[in-house]
Amino acid sequence: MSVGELILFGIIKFIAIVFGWVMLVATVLTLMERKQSAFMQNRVGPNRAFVFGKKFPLSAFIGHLLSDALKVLVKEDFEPPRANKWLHLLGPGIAVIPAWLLWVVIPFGPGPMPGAEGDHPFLIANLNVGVLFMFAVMSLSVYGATLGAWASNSAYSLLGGLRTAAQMISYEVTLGLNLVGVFMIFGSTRLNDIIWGQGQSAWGIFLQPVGFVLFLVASIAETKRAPFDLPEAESELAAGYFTEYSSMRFAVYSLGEFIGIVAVAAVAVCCFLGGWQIPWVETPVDASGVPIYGWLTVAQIAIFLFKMVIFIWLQMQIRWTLPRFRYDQLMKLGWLYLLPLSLLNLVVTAIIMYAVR
Amino acid sequence: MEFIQIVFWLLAAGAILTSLMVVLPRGRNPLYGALALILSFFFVAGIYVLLVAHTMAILQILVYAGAIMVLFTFVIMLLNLSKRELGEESKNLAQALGVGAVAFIIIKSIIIVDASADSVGGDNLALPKGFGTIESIADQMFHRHLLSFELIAILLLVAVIGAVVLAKRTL
Amino acid sequence: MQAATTTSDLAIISPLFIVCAMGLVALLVAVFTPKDSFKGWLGYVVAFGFALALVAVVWLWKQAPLTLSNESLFFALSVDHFGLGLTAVILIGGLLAALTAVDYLPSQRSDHGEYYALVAFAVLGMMAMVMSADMLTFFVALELMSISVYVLAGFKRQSAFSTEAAMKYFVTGSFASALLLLGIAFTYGATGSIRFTEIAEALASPQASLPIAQFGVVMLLAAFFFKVAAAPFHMWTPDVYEGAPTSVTALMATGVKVAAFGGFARMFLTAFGDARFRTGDLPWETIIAIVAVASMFAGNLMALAQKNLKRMLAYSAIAHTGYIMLAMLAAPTSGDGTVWLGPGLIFYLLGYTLASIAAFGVASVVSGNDVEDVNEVAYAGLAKRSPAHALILAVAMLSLLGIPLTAGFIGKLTIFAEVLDGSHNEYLWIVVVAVINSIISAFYYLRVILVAYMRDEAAERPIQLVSSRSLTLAAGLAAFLTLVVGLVPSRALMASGKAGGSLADSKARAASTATVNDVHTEADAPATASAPKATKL
Repeated sequence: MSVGELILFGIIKFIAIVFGWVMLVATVLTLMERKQSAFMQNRVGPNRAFVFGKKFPLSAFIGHLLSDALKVLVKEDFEPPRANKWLHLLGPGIAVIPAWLLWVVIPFGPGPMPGAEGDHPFLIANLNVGVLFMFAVMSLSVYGATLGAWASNSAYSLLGGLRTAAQMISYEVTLGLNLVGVFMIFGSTRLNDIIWGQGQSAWGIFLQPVGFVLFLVASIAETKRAPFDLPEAESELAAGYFTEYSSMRFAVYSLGEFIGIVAVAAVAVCCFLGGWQIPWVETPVDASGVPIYGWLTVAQIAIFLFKMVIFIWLQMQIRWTLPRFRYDQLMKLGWLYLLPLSLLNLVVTAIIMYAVR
Repeated sequence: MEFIQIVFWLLAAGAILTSLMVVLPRGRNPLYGALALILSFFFVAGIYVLLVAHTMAILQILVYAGAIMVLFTFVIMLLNLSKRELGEESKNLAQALGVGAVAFIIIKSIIIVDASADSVGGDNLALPKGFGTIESIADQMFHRHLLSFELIAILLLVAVIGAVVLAKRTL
Repeated sequence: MQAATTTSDLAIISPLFIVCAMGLVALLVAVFTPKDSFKGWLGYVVAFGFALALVAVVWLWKQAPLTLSNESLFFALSVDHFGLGLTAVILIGGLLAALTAVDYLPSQRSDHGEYYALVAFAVLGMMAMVMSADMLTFFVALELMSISVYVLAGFKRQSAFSTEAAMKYFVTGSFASALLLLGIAFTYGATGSIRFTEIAEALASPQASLPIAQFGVVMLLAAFFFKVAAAPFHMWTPDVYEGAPTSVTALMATGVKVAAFGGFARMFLTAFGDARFRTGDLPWETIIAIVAVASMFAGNLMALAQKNLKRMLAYSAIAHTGYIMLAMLAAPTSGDGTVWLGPGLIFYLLGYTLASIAAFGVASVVSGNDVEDVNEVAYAGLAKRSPAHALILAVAMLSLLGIPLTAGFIGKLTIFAEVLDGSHNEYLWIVVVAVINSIISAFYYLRVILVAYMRDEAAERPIQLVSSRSLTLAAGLAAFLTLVVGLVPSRALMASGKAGGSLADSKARAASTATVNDVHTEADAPATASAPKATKL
């Protein structure tokens, strides 16, 4: 294939994966979240827009999806006076583009074994830097929040933006450091290699239990959800950094957030929960190391999705259970407990690896 | 001109333009300067990609654009300087001289580099296998430049001590 | 090939190791000691560490030049007589400077344990700098030293002057670092290497791009001039020297200067030392000659007008930079392009270090509690109030001036003689200029002694430091050593000569270890990720 074809193919793949799959998951997630919160607060939840009548309660999902979409499209696109027009417009865009780009390196189905030649059908780009690319992109999503906040020219927004910047920088370190242990064990930063490695030895959650717990905590903080939702703390800052956003721009912001949640869940699944591996089921491969695709592949993609939903559900459970941190507690937790623990985890991992080598 | 060369010149021009935007209109809100600097990092990362230094490109974005510049914008937003505090644009002889000197250096360097471009590198620069991968960078860092790596560890420690010593309210 | 020494790598880098460990120990201890307790004893701990490292250096000196077997260390460090000799000077300066802080810091209400850790790390950077064999190690070591000293300059947190000094030093110093990096980048672009010896080889080949290298050398020179405070890159010096705590100024005037001169001298002479370049294509020698003259005049003329002792010493430091630069001009070459140094550079640096510590030590004693006003009143009639301190001050001033029987005299004499020898009177005019400058400097150096001994209108003003034992010890020791080295200079001169001469070996050693080199470069190409390489340490 020529370079042009490769690029074209990559773009098609990207559009198919991101818009056909990720966006769908993220949208469904909004409803799942509402239902889950209603369940935990002993409410009914979304129960107005039944498409096929009350006999089919799940049809409310579809109705709400449609009506939500309609709502954000037709509402007034309000721009606060004295706001910085261009940056205000740019903010949601900068927030959502990195969230899309995160999916470039996430494989959601089986690909060729490490070292084997061959195209990976469920991965957009098999980069050598692997997950590092994801972190680079994720670190950029901060700008969406902070710039939008600054451009809004509102005190609530600005405080929310500042909190976002500080929080995301603080927890990004922990998030990344806890993956390093996994990299060390499997000797690669490519998620595909890591998943194959987990199939051969054990899942990351058993090899890196402390790493998994810390990653979970940091991932919640990184996706700005309760108990780490200080950037958008409703009771303190109205809506935090997107206080001054409405209609489609607001929707783009929250969409970006939900895609981010899905992406982080996908990374957690890839690194700690075995990715698309089904326990005790061997993936059949041909002589060159490329898996033989068949019904098992479908099952594997399904199990990947299932694991992801479980992880997201765990996050939601935490979100609706725990109260919000105070700001100083947040910083203390991040820098004084999580970071040293992650480093300790790394050192212990290194020592054990050296000992059992 | 080859495709790669066109890309290079575009990236280089972008990097220079955005770098100029960081400093040029004085008295403007520094946040725009910071944003221009972030853009400039992206252009430089693009040049790294052209040089087959993929890991460096990613690290450039991860560390500079994603971490350090966030802190810059954080501080700028926290200070939220007013127009008055930013000061008016001032022109004097020293500034003119400085601009002249910089312009001279730029022009001179372009001439020099252009004149000697043929003698450097060229086609005989064959990249070793695995160039630009994480593995090769790790190999350089932990074998050939291990001492520097360790010294940098101390350097960062010193920087941390310095920040605490100079900025903590009560020591 | 150099006979394979039995000394292990760890033993060879033990001076670096000891100093680093002492810094970490001081830091840890500082964390766990009560807040308001006396932290000065940490100064003794760090000084002990320096002394220990000094012993290690002397032990290594007897076996030098040493070849490191570890790949990383082999490429990064050259532990020869030059590096070890300068390390010894740095350690002496650091030791005495650490001692001057013990009593001085409490008097300035800045007695924090971190000070001594930072001093140790700064000295670590200096040592690595003078031993570095490639640009990367050089730069990292220089930054380690610089950042430590930036922080130290602002250590007197309640003083606006100190903060200003730190800020000024930091901003201008960062700029110089950026220039240095740019210079390294250009040099790398021209030669494709960051090792000094390989740069020299690459430049000697006809394909080398001299215009780009020229650019790099100019940038490197600018950084060098900044770090050693040479005119016209000296503007930061007076304010920083005056504002920083005096014990830090002592370290800046001694350690930083020695490290900068040592490191850059090695870089220029090893990488760009070819006689073809020095005044021709890469005319760094010519530039240094001009800057040396400018520094001497700028320093000496401005020093004449100073009333403040620290400020005067700052300008005198600029002038001395000019004298020391002459030693680099005089670097002799042999027919095959090998370059080395005479004893002048290192000997002068030793003498200057000792005299500076003595002078700054007395400046700390006479500066009152919590004030930083070391003007004439402070030391007028010092001879009546405290004869010992007056004597130390006098010895320091005489040595800085270059009066016979002091180290300063021998140093100046050696450098001037070297210049006349080495350049076949090409640089005779510079020596004449230097002698004229020495005469100018007599005015302000002697005025200090005059004020200390003859004026007594402030005789009732007491020496304000309650406890100045360690200060007096350090300054006294420095003055004593100044006299000793001045009276019996032969051993120090011989050692300096050996150290300077060892620069010539680096080329030979690089050639002889070419086999090692090849093996390493082949191994460098990372074939697979999983191929682990045996590293011996």
